Amino acid sequence: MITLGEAFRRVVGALDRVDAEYVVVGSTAAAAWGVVRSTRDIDLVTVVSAMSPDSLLERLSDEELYVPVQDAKRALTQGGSFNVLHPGSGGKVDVFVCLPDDEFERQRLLRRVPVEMFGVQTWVATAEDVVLSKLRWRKESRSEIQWRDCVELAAIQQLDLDYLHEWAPRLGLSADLEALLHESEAGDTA
Amino acid sequence: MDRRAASGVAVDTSPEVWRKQMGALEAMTPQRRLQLWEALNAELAELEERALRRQHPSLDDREVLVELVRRRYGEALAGAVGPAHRHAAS
Repeated sequence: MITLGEAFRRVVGALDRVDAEYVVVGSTAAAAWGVVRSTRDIDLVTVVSAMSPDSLLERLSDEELYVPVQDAKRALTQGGSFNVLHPGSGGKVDVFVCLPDDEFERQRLLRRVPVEMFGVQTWVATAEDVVLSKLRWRKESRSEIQWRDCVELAAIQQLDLDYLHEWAPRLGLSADLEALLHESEAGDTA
Repeated sequence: MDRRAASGVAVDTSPEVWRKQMGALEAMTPQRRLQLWEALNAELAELEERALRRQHPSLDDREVLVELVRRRYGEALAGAVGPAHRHAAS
């Protein structure tokens, strides 16, 4: 059976050993805030740094993880993403590497929240950052699942509306946020 | 924002039940929600494996894992799990 815990613990261990900042995002972060759905892998975000890509790749290799090396080197120097697979368990973690000047991603990292997951201390994106990411992804993918997730997050969490209003215009999501808030208000009076 | 019924709610769920579901999730800690998420993923992975084994009872444990990875993540990553393998027909 494919399990995700072993892959996750090993990736986090490798990132910690090279002092890389990271934050768990996507459906895993959404689960921490109440949208509990199954997932096929775990997404996390880190940032391009002065660190040599080789030092992280060596740590990942020490953890017996499979990494497509060229993809990883490209992502770790220019931004992008790469897969990390634990062959023993079949679990996969997708690592998204952002550029240092990506302000939203920097915010996600700054605002991250500590949690325990699979028995290790780790970091997840805040509920507001999950909402913004899902609104953005919904716009690109036209996925209604993303919209449903946002509606549920707004129902479960007391979201920081000031933060959402600050970032939605910067991400081109003003109309999407207004639609979400309108739906919430409509529900409040239902 | 409070719990409410909205168009993002599945049509087969009544507003009242939906509000109760949201309320139950709201009352949990992030830790507890992640535990539920871990358990949900484990249950679905087990169902996935059982279905494959029923379909292809001759596969050994390694072949089962390779096939599960192939179905979930594709050919390239399946190759990292094991040596050349025969594909179980989907």
